[in-house]
Amino acid sequence: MVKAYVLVVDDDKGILETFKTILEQNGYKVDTAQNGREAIEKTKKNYYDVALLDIKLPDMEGTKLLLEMRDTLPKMVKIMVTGYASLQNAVDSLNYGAHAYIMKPVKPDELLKVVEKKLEEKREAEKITEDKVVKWIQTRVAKATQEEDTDERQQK
Amino acid sequence: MEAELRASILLEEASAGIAVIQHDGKIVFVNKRLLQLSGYSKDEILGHHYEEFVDKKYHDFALNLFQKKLQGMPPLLTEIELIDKNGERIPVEMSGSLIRYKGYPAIVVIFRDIRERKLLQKQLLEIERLKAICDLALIVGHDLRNPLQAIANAAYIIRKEISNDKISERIMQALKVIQDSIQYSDKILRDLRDFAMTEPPKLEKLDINALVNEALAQIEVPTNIEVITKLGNVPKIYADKYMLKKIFVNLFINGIQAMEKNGGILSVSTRKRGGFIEITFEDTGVGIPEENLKKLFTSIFTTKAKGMGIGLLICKKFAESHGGSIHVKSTVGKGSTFTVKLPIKNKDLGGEKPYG
Repeated sequence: MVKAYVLVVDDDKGILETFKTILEQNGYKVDTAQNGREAIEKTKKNYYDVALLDIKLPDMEGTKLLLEMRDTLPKMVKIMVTGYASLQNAVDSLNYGAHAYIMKPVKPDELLKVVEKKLEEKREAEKITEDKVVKWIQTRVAKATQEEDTDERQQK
Repeated sequence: MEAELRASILLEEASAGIAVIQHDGKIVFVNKRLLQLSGYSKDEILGHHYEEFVDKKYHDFALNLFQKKLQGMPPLLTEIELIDKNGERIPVEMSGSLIRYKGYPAIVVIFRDIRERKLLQKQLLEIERLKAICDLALIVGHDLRNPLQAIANAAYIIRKEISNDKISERIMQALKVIQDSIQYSDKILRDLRDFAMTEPPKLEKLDINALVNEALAQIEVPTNIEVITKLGNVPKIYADKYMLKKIFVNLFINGIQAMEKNGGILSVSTRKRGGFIEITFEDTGVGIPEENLKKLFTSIFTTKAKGMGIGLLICKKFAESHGGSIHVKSTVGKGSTFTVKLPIKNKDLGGEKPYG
């Protein structure tokens, strides 16, 4: 069973391929992109639960990529994995909608943990939304039934 | 006669060093300032050949001056080095004019002490050098992180591909070496970044004593070393947690390394003194020789086989970015004391926030 769909974006081929293998070894279905344009196109066509994004890409800054992806796949978990760590980068990334900010080199086990945790949070959030919808419908239905009841009684 | 007297007084009291060298190279006049500059007495100079007082590289300077003067060229400013009585080289700026002395051509040479200027130039060069190192460090640091990540990933894949019952002790060992080496490389890169980065402190209200304990918790203290903490009653201050912790961790490690061989006691104390909090790290280790003390905070310097020698530079940089400072006292064979001073109310950083 596929755990989740992941998009890895990095211009370093060694990183791209090894992250892909690692994620596949752990039950994920993985797609890759080597630049920002390719990544955006893929998010337009396909669905991904998670994206691992490098902050410096040959054709655009990671922050721009984050903004674009907010439109193409708003609910996708976005994890920045970067060698260009600075406070400013981290703050910008989080402001532009990243869910996590990790500095290279990260231990693969730790990265997998973050992916798992963020997916869990996403599921929780979705469930809460679902629950809310259900609850709202339930209250609505209850109210409607009540109203109907009163109507019926009044009619009688 | 009076004019001559006035001239000689002028020469004698001039703020620049003045000498007259006659055609055979012998010095026939020196003024007070030049004596003061060189440390010699009049008797030790007069009648001696100028070459005795000038660095070898510059021995033909008088000859050159003569020739240029005879060719009618304007006075030239040259930089040379005098050698004073203690054998020290003193950089001076020199100019000369041709005169007649007892019927022969001679030159009047005027020296200006340019030690201060030279020192400034050296400091400027050092700043530029550090800046270049910083720029390079940031680039190299960034670029190395990608291959390190790829290596870490590859090691993980290999481990995952070999089933537990088939993996040999040797493979496990080799994989551990890879992992440890990546971590050590990461530490080097982090140090480089701390050294090179120019970001201002990120202020939050901090309990310094708690932070000292947090730093200590990160340290592996060898069994032959005892750490004693005497944490005083100090107010909370606004400071950058990452930076202060880095200072404390570095000073803990420094102290421990100084006592690695023979063991000893590392006493760490905090106290309020005036408008500052003082944090002191006192070890009973090998101590630092006088000549190394000066270099400790001013340049990339290490006596260790491993490491870059930027740990203390980072401490200094981080302390100063808080408007604070770091000092060291040391006696060889007895130990060293590093003191970090941090202002309680930090005006440079916008002052202490009233309610935080």
